[in-house]
Amino acid sequence: MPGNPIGVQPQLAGSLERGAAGRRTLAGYLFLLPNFSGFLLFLLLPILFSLVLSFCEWNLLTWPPRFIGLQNYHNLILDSHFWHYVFNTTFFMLGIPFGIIGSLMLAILLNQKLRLRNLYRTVFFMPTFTAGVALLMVWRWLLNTDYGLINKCLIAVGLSGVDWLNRPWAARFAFVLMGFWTGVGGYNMILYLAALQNINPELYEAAAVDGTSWWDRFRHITWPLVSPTTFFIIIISIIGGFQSGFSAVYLLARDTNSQEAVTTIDYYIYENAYHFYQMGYASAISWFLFLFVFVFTLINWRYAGSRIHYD
Amino acid sequence: MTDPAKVLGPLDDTAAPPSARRRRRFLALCSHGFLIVVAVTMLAPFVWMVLTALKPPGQAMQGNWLPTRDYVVVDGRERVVTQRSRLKDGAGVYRVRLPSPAADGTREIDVSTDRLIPVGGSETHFLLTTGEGSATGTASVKLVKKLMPEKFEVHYEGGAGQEPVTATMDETRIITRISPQWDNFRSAWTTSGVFGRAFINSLTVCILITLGQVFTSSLAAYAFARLEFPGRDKLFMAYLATMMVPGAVTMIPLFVILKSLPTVLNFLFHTDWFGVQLFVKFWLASPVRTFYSGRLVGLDSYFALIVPGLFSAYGTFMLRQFFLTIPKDLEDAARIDGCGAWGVYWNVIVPLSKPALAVLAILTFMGAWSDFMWPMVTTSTPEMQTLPVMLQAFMGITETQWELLMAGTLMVLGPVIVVFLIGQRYIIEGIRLGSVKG
Repeated sequence: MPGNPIGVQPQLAGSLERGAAGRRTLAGYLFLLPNFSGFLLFLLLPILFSLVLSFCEWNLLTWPPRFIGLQNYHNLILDSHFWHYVFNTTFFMLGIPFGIIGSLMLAILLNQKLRLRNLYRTVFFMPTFTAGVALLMVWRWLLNTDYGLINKCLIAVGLSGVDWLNRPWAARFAFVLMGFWTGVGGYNMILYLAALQNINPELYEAAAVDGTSWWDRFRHITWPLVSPTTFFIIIISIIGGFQSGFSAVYLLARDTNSQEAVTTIDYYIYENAYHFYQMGYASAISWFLFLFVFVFTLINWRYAGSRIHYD
Repeated sequence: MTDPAKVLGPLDDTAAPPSARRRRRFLALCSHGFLIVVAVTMLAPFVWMVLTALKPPGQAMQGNWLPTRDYVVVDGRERVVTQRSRLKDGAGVYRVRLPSPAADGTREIDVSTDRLIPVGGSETHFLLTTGEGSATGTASVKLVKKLMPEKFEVHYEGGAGQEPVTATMDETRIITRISPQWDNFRSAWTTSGVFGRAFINSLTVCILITLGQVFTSSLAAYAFARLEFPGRDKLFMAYLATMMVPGAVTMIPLFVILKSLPTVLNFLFHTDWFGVQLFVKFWLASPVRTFYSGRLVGLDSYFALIVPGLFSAYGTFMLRQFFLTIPKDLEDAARIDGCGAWGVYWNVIVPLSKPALAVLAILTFMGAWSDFMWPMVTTSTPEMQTLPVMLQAFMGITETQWELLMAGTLMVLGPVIVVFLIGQRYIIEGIRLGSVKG
């Protein structure tokens, strides 16, 4: 404790502090108890259980699960479906750079003194806020081959409509487009806005006095100064990207010709666990997924650390 | 705050030469143009959803934007065209509902207007194809006699033993009016059957999860940030480490645990363990149980939907980071005033971190509200479905009735949009705060 503000005698203060420390230790455990019990029961225990399951074969009906060692992982590495779905999952991440460019562009535009900028911000953020099953229903309707809004627009400008959800590459493209639309004005744009507002305006003033162009100022001031944010967004998007796709595949592509083309790792885990009842195999896949996420989290910790602080 | 005018234009607005000012205004105009295009793109799907939700049956499949209804005048009275279709040769067929002179209530006939099918090359007699007939199900072929260019006589024959009925169409033109079908919402609500129940379920689950997470996380976060006890930092590292474990990893074991929980509890209760059985019997008989007809524990119960969501490593982490920024002097002052750990937490920490608590509450609520995978996996009866699961099931029921599906979707999205529009300023600021701190 810094100082001794009430001037208690040293010896007395010592015993008081020991008592206080003991009480505070107890208090610490008590404060932690509600969260920690949940943490233990619903996070730590399942994680360990999942690890054990990944070395077992189990169809949920018989007890106990049969231990088969590394067989699940062996099968997984040889499972061409799995690698195909890994490819799909990474393919959808191609949308990330476009999303980043879009978000930064919107953030720069909104960082001006413009009328209605709060209104724009609200509108851009709405898809992110409302994302979920309901919005996927809207997309199901937008992408409808015969009556969907997107095909209507395509036909209106003289192109032909696309059977979005029944053709593999069209479906992949539609999924990327959907992700872009949902995310471009969301968290990333808000993060960029925060980063832009923390750039010292004097830098721009000095550069303007030197008669530099807008592009030069962007390249030499804005871009380097928001690069920690960019790095953070890339990592977060990749980590999120590995774990995404279940709802979209389930609601838009299940039982269509394009299901194979858009199935992600997340959906494959679900399929194995709840359609094929291969709990062990599904757990093994989830640990593989964890491996991907782990690598990128480490990269984040190693290279970004605490740089993502703006104050 | 950056003054963005300086980013794009000259340093001082008033002192700027007119050319520069013009340039600045031009740039602002360009910005607005671009932003408006983006805003329209963002809003179009929502507008399209609302317009579809208000359309009469079948109209979603047609070309028009606005929800309209067609009317024809028959026997001097306007009748709603209930269905429009086209024949193979392009003739339009309009189905209207006319009151039947027979005692069997209404009778449906087809009235073709623009292009009727001439019978045997006749200019006065036209054939109309038919749908299902009257309530007695016998009306089949109808003849339309063209009296004048603007006047039709519609004959349609009833079944055996029924007198033929004649109706006169005063006008061949179809009257089209914008008429939003508010009734679609009621239809969607009743077609689904469990809409209200899903609303209550979602609200219950989300509110309890939000309260639970904010409460348990803030307690734990305070312990991690300010209280000293052995093993604190190691535990915190454990929290941090589990944050990167994907939800998919814990989902399967959690499912298994919940599935086997009733069996385990049954086994334990057989021995009348600590009188727990008494409690369960009380629960089974209680009115709460009657309303929440789901199981007490196990899959397909509120327990499964709520309890695993009550604790969060992320929330603890985020709040701890925020609590660390609260000046320690305030806390010391409270301690001198005789506050214990709880007193400090309740009187100092909680009031000072309202923004951070609000952020966590918003993020948790949003996450729980849109969560799909876990409720879908754990619920099996319609009574336990949350809104996303209910909507997914509704999709299967409505098939091609897009107006019903969109009406249902709008009823799910509506409250979210309203909450967002009212609180967007706080929400966005809050998320910014949360992202920066976390």
